Amino acid sequence: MLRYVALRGLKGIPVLLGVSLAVFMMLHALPVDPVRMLAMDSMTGTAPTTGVSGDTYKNLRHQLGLDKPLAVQFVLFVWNAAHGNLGESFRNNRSVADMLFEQLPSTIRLTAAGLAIAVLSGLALGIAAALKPNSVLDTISMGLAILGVSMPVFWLGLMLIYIFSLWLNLVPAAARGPESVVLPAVTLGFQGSAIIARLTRGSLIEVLQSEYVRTAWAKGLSQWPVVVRHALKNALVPVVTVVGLQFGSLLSGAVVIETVFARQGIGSLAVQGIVEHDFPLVQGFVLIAGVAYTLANILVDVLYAALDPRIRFE
Amino acid sequence: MTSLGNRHKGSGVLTRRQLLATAALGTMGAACVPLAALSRVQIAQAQAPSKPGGEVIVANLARPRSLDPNVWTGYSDNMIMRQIYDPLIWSVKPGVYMPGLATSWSISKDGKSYTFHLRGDVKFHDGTPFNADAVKFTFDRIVDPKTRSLQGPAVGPYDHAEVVNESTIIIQLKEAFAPLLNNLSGTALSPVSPTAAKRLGDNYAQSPVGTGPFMFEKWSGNDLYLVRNPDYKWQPRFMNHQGPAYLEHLVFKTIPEEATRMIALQRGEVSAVYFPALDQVARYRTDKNYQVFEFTTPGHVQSFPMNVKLAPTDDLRIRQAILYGVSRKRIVDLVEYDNANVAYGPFSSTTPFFDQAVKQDYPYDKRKAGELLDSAGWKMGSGGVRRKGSDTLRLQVVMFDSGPLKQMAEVTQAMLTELGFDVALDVTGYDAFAKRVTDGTYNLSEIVYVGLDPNVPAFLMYDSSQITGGGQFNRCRIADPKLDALIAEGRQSTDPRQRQHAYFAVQKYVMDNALLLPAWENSLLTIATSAMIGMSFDLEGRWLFYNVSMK
Repeated sequence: MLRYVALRGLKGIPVLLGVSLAVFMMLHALPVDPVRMLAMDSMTGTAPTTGVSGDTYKNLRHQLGLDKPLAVQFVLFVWNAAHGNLGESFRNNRSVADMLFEQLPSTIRLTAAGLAIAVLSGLALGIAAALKPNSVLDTISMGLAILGVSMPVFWLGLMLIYIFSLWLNLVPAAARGPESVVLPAVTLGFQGSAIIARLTRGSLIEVLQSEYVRTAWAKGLSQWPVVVRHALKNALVPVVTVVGLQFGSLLSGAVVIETVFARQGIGSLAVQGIVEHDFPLVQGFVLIAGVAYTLANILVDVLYAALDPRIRFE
Repeated sequence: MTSLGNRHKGSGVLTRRQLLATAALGTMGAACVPLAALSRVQIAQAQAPSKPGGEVIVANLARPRSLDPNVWTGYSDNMIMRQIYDPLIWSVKPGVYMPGLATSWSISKDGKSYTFHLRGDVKFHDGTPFNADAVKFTFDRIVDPKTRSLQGPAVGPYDHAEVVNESTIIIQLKEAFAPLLNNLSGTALSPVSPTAAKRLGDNYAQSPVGTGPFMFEKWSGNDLYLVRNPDYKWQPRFMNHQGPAYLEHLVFKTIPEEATRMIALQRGEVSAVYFPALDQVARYRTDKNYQVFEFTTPGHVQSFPMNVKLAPTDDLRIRQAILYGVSRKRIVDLVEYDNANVAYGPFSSTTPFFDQAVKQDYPYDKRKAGELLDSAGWKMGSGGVRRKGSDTLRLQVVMFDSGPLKQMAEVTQAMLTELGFDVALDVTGYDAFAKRVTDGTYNLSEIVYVGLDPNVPAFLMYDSSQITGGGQFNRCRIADPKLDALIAEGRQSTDPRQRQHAYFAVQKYVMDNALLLPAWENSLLTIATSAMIGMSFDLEGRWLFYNVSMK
């Protein structure tokens, strides 16, 4: 099993390289001048209080390594990244690795909480709906699922703040502290739970109709052991795969949620980097997100095989 | 006394006596250190004396990128830096300066040598002494390429600094540079602790060490915590008290989402909001629990510069028609919800040497606009578009998407269309916009600029060297040696009358040649709870939290 994980890990490296290269090319293909952006107060869009001279631009460009050929810049990035050096932010010369890892725990807390909510509520809704198909419970659950999938994450977040913060006065709008993760996690997890609910329902209904389950009924086993020991394990196979894919959208959702709820995290750093054309920061974020995504999918594959003995490590 | 809910407008010039009287009464929140921007100072009813203690939490738009004043020019961050650092001199009225960390100064006859005498009782927040070496260090690091400073233009033709003794320093310039005193009164040239800067290197920007009334305490996530400097006693004379600041804590909470900021204010989670939602401001103006501070920044107004090199705006009559035919009041009402002054010329009314005469230029007159276009040969055709021969009157407008700019462009486009223009409006990200600016493929673009010294908007926006050089802020692309000479005269002269003559001439030239379509005077809004008293601003609109206390 260790060999399998290691092999999968190795296979992730070309993926990470490819993603980094794609983002690198996109950043440099845009008619973008990060040095000009440095002089802008990007949040308000106003030019700085004193003009920046042409010489300053040239010096800055050289200091930031932007006057080197593109291929050289990319190779340097890869080489440094392999040694744990993600470069320095254009904006404030701080180590990108320091900036990202300082704020990473906040994003991990948010994403983990969101994932937990998505999985737990999605499974619960999906199982309940599958056990009583076409009932009122089923209709309501699936109705909620459609809502969850159609609502923009951004809008849902603001609505929850209005309701729980302004009207019901239960939580601060710009909350800090450990309990501040609740509303953002709910917002984040809502969409994922909708998808998981629908998939679980469909998959479980199908499994419950298969022959071996009907055999178990016939043998006189009561509902719960059948569902949990036999049906659920098989029904969860496609669900687990989807959860792995959902992890990616949770990460991107975190970018929006961190802005709406005024949380720190690598998502809000990514926004900052993109708006300001802070190339090293963006590349660093993409790399970390890529690694996280790869690890999540390795985990999914391992779980997958654990659930279904027919699938073994090749 | 008028409540703080009213907007302070108009211009007023205070005498020194009124100023001292006001300070002596410990006025509350008539936001002012005397300024052309805010109104005549209101002499308040006697208030209970301010007591020390308390905390102010300001909801801020974004995490401060850098708190290094010698390196970073970001306006919002400089507002925070004003609390952490002191300048050598303070400007209380345009062109009038007061001692800060420097007790006195003199300028040589040729304008190239500035001698400053410094206070001897000042310490940096890390306990190290403030002295001439620190000032030299500050100037030198700005011009040192290793620092990667963006504040080069603030020191202008700086050559070197000479430390005469602990409390005397001579700043030597290569040529006369009138804006230096103004720049010294800002934040760019604030002394930083050499010990801290050398020790922390690039990380200094995240843990600033100045001499100001508030010290850096910590970062908590993206929130910045400042704490009172207990040793502070070198405040300038115009402040409303002496010694350490009243407030114990000053927090800048980062809340990027506008709606969330407003909810936080309503719930009392924060005491003040910077960049409030414009459409909600009116409500807070009339609410006794809140006060709205509106500061019109000096410098260049929010405007559409018109490209004189590209048809049809290469024709003066077309440009004048645009000025007559677009209602600026309508733009301000629709886009800024009437939270800014209408602009008339290139400089905002709070800029030194602003010429009131520009207010008479180009009153809104659609009929006159139509006549001008007719006389230029562009006759109204079918479909509401003017034609000359086989050509249509086509305007290319470029804008970048930030805040109200897109709406500003769209509202203007609608009014131009009524006049018979075929307007192609491109609203893009900043870089694509900047590329169009560089290539010159536009008739109307955008510019706004904050700067106290009139040299800033005059030089950057109208000097011929700034079309392709510098930040490319000369977007009307005027290149006239006569205009360049007027601008240079303003920059190099230290005689206020001569400067006024030069800058009045610059403004007249700009308006006579219809180089821009002004929209509104850039205004900064802060909404605060009424419990926060004593708020005032410096001449460039930065908060002065030193004066603030909580009821």
